[in-house]
Amino acid sequence: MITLHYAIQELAFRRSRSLITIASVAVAVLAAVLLTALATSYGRAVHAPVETVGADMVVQITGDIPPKLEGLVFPHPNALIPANAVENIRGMDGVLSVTRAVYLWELAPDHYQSVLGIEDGEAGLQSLSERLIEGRPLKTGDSAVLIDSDFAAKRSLKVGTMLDVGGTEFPVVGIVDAARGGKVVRADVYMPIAPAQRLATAAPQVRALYPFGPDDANLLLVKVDRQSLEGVVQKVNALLGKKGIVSSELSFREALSGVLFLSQRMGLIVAAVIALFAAAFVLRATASAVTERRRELAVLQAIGWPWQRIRQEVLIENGVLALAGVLLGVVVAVLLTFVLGSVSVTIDLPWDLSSTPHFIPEATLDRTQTITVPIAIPWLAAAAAGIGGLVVALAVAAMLVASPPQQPWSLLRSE
Amino acid sequence: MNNETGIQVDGVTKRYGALEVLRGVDLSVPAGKFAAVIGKSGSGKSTLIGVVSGLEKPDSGRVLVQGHDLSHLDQRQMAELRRLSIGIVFQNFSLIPSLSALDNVLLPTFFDERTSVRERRARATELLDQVGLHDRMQHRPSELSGGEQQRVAIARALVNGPSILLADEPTGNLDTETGTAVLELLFAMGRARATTLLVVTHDLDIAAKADMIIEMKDGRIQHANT
Repeated sequence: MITLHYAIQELAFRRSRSLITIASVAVAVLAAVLLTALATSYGRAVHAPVETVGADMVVQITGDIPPKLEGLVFPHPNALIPANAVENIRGMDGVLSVTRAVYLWELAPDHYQSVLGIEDGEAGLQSLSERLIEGRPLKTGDSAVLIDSDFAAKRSLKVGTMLDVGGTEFPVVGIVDAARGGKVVRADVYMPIAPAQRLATAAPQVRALYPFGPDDANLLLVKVDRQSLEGVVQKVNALLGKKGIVSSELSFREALSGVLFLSQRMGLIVAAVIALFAAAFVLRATASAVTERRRELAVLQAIGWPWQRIRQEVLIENGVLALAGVLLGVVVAVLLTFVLGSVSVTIDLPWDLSSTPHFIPEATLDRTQTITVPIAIPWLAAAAAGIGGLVVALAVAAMLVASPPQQPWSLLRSE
Repeated sequence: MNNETGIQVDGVTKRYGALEVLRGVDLSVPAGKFAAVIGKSGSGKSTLIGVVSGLEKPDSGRVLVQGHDLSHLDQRQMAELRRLSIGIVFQNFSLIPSLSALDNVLLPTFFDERTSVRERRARATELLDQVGLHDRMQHRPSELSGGEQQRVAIARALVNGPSILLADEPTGNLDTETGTAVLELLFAMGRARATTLLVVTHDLDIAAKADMIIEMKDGRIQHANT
């Protein structure tokens, strides 16, 4: 404790050098922590579009254009997915669950509406319940619908009114804020899968193209163990062939490649360069401190301090400086992330995932999605940066005072 | 070696490159005596003090301090001997600029496990009081005059009660009056503690007060008068 007292006196006495060393370590830690935080946030933005529907993967098959664009039709990227393909996907290693869905457009002379019939489950009806703003959630056996709030406003629909879908009247039991779930696989009308399957089976423009049965689907929402995602995507692509459309966070990596490159690769490079400069500053500050104090260290030797205690003293001083620098760097990083709050990234969604018919002006939606991800301090990276800063500062000091000067008297003598 | 011998130097040589600074020096200072080393600049006086302190290694010969052959001591034992048995006063005071006078005096006691912190502090305070700095204890060296700084250095050299006190031109950076006062103090305190005193000086008046005068020339002892 006495040596700590001496160390603090010494650091306070040489204030400028102490502040430069603290600032050098702080800048390196700040850069490493902040850039890692940004890279992590952008990384999270990549899987946000698919994640918002409660799945890790959306599976579709490219279909054909129906003979007539009227009544209930399958959108172009939503052909029949064969039942054996569904079972095959369900059995793949890493696949946690498969939620089947039927996606339909209804093209009437005076209106257009998109319809999604979906199974129960985390990525299905349960995910809709989380976006419910009025009414009640759907249950598997219901012959009722939920409608999107924008659609409800446009068509002046309320909970309790009846809605015609494909010639069948369905009671509206609730209104959902579909936008809250992003724009992936978004529809105007949601219902359990069974009535949607019945509607599709009976639709002439569907039957003209596919042998769609009452237990079939044209869209799959798949939950996958994240570590197995890349392998599962490859297997599903191989299973479905050229016409398969498999959308996951991997699809958005390309869309965000510029941002990701900047945030991850460049971020690491910039952090490494800053860390190198900081290490050079620390080296220079420590080296000049030891050189300035060669005589002082010789005095300590002369009054009987063992060299290991002198070395310990220098290490304590540098440890205190490095610790102060690390704490300052982390505190400033926390403050900056608090001030910045979040990062926003706008992504162009592929048409497959937001398949609104471009030939109907009133149905054309903005197919860009702005994803806002809060910036959070990656504490593991912060700890690594902090420990790294401490290790560099202590290693530099240890290197400089590794062994005692051979002739301390030459620094102390009068002649 | 006689047990009453404080410092013994036998056939010590020291060379800096081509320059031979000590050429077979033999010297014996009885315990409790005051020896003054005189001679011109470059005669080897300071090197002799360095060799006796163990801070300078001789090329040949041996040095015994209180019966300990310095060449047989490892780094840790040497540090302990310097801390407990040898006090050194330098020409340029050599105080630590960031510490107060009191902390400077306490520096050699940091690893003293025989006494409590309170006792060490009391000892340092008493010594500073004895050198007339009772009201300057919390001042840093930059806030003290040269004479005051050397008094702090004397207190630091004596704080562990050493049996040997080495002084390398202790008045070299002081005016005559202050220098004389500082030396009087050094002698008085040394004698009061029966300390063996080896002082390098140019001043013959000071040397005249010593029990022994050792005159050095060209790295050799020219005369050793008792």
